[in-house]
Amino acid sequence: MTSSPDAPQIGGLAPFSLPAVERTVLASGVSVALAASGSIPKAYLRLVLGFGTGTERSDETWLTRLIGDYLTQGAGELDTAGLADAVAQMGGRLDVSVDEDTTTLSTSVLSEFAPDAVRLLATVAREPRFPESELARLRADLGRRLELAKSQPGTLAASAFRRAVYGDHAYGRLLASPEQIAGFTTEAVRATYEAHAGASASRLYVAGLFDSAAVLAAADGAFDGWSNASGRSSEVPQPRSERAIYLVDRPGAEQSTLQIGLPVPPPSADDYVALSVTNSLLGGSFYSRITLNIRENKGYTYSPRSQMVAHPSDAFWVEQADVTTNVTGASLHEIFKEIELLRAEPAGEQELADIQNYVAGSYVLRHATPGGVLEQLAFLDLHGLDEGWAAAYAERVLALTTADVQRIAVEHLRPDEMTIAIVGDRRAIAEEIAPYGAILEAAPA
Amino acid sequence: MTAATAFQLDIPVEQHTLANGLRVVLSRDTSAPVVLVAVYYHVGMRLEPRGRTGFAHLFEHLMFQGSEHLGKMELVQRVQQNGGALNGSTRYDFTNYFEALPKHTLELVLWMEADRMRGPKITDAELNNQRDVVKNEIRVNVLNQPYGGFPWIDMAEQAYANWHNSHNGYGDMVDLDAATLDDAREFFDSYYSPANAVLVVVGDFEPTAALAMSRRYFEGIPAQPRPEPADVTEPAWTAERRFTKDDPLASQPAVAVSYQVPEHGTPEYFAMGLLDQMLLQGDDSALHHELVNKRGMTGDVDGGMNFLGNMYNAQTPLLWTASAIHDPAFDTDAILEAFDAAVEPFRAAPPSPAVFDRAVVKARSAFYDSLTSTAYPGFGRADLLASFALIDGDAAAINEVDARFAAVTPELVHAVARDYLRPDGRAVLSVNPTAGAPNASEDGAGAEEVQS
Repeated sequence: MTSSPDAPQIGGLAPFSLPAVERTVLASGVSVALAASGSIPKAYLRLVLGFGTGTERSDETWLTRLIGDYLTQGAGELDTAGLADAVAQMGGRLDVSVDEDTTTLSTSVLSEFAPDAVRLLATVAREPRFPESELARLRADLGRRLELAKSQPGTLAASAFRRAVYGDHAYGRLLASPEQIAGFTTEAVRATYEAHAGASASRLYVAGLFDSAAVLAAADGAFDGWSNASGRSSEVPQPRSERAIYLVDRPGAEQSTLQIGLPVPPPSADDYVALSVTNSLLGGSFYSRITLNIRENKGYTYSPRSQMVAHPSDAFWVEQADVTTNVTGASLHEIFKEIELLRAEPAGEQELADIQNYVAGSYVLRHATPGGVLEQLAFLDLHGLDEGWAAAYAERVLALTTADVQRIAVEHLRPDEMTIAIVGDRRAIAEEIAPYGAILEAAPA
Repeated sequence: MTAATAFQLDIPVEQHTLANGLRVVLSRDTSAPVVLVAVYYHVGMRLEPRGRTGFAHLFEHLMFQGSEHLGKMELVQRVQQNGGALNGSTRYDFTNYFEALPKHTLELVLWMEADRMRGPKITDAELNNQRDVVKNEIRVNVLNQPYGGFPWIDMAEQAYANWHNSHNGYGDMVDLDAATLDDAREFFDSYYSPANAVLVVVGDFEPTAALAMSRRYFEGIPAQPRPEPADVTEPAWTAERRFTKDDPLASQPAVAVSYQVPEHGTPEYFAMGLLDQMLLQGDDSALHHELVNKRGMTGDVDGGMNFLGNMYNAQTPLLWTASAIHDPAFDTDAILEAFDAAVEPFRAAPPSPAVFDRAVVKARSAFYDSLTSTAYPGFGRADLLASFALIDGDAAAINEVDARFAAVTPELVHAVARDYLRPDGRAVLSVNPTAGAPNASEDGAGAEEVQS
């Protein structure tokens, strides 16, 4: 076989400017951000309402999810089927996603329908029907989703981890109870929605290809006069962590599902950018230390990953992995070894430079598609970050030193305080995980 | 400019064939300063050797473990240190490798893909490591999850008659354990030749320069004969068949219903694509209306024409499958009764103009969605260009999709529904949930240990 040529030399990353975003606040108070992007004749729309499950009281867990499902059941002149038909006629589907801090109505339609889609989203947000006739069915659907969630090891691990870190705060309750769901009423749905959904707490994002003047005009008219309920903010949580193992027994499990982590500063904090780079180096990318170790060297797992999960006022760092049952203890050993090493010794200069280029270059990729642009805009707004923060991001990434990364690891990634959640076969793993912390029984759900 | 001209889809497609048979497809898109490089080899789960189920996928992993100039994981390292994202996947008919990066890196990425097209350079250490990784992939996605192989592995195993289509493409653990470096060499020599591959470049580049670079790095790779395609033909199903699978990790029943679909690329195939929109896709679909809104049997009916992709990126035979995790108050017969109530009107008469027109719009919108990819900018477009090149023989067919749907009539939709969606030609798979049943999950521990 002929030999292949040597690697070509390439230049460095070209200076990159963020895509242009047209921002405005409508007379109604709704914030609008429009970003022409991409090359496919579709428009991608999101209407973000300022409340999520994080504001739920302990006796109404998942009420916001029921509201989300209920929003698809007709609005204005349209009943359930009429609403589904109307959005489908534009090439779209109405999706309502509920997370801890937001409820998001989204759809993607053929470009020529973008103004119509804005009007439709406004109608859904302003005039939901919440028909009593659909309540029993929607509650049953929600109950089955709960049942499904409780059978998934990843969800059970996340649930145990959250409860340990957030305690009684709503962020600590990932799973509802069937009894609570059965007690939800249309009145509670309507009252909660009307108290918290309103113009000034809502943000409309449109990306893709569309006529921006027509979209803006449609939004101006469609949201005019909407109520000014201000959304509701979560109580400020007091996340905490101490080294202990929360074990959910899953007899016979072939793998142990791990979550290991602790609270860290949120995106609005000074250290967040450095923390992001540190995370990418430690476990947050394919070519990171933990992944190279427990996947590419040891073969313990397929998809290990660390990340920061952020709310407006707090965040946590977590390493997740599904590892073969008989190497559960060995996996904990290797993960903690890598964390300790990053705290004890500075990263290599080239290693850090590579990760800096990765994080900075990924920023280009993340702004290269309409979906990516929407994600970035929603992230900035949720965390109260401005365009200056976004514009300076890559520069801040590239300015970090190995000393910065070591400081971040020492200050924020403290293994002695990390919460460990494990869903696995207690009988098979109890002995080998015992050295890593007191084993506390976590209820299955 | 007017909205009408501004919103046209027009994908530039430039096709070349190098001296060694490698097809090159270039599609410029200057909407962002990035490039996407993809290499597709025309071998997937359907072509792996008997006794080596899962091998096409295992081999995909091995392609990241080193080649002549790239050490283990060095390709991943180089992509990352240049700000990129990458992945690979194994499908029924092809295996793909792709990288999305800032645009200045194009030449480096082409060089890397060319280096590994000359063959992996690995030892037993890498094979054993990736064998363990793949087994953990199967555990996390199938063995340790409720509804893990449902319906894509379970339905195929039960319903198809032809081994190429029916066997578990993720692989049997015993077969994975048996795989050797000799197998890898033989597999590579048989299927990973330039003439059996397509290189696609999408993004912000100069086509003349990109073609020159492609020639520089790929044209020197020795030519090999193209392999014989497997015979994947499937006999027509002539009776309803029902299967049940116990799932010890599931706590709610589920049903999947599968039908054979018309031959890929025919007018009937596009009519089936519209039927999929009318019956199954979206909250306005007939099955959603009947099973979800009207009868409250489930919160969602899932499915489509390709378990591992869309209607464009696999050849037939394929199954049109609808599935739902459903309320235990209903049994499979009750679900099927509701299913037929939704489907039979389409078999009895052509769809109404409103339903038909809506399906055409939805199909176009779904096609556009399949051209996009947020995680790997440019990948959706590259995926369809490669698929049209490999399966249809012409990447430029990507620009004919709208016309193919437009040529379908309500009468053709009716005929396809009548001929293909026959209750006496379908397969029905029920999941029997046994979680919580006595001894349901005893003796599972240690049954499949990797480390020794």
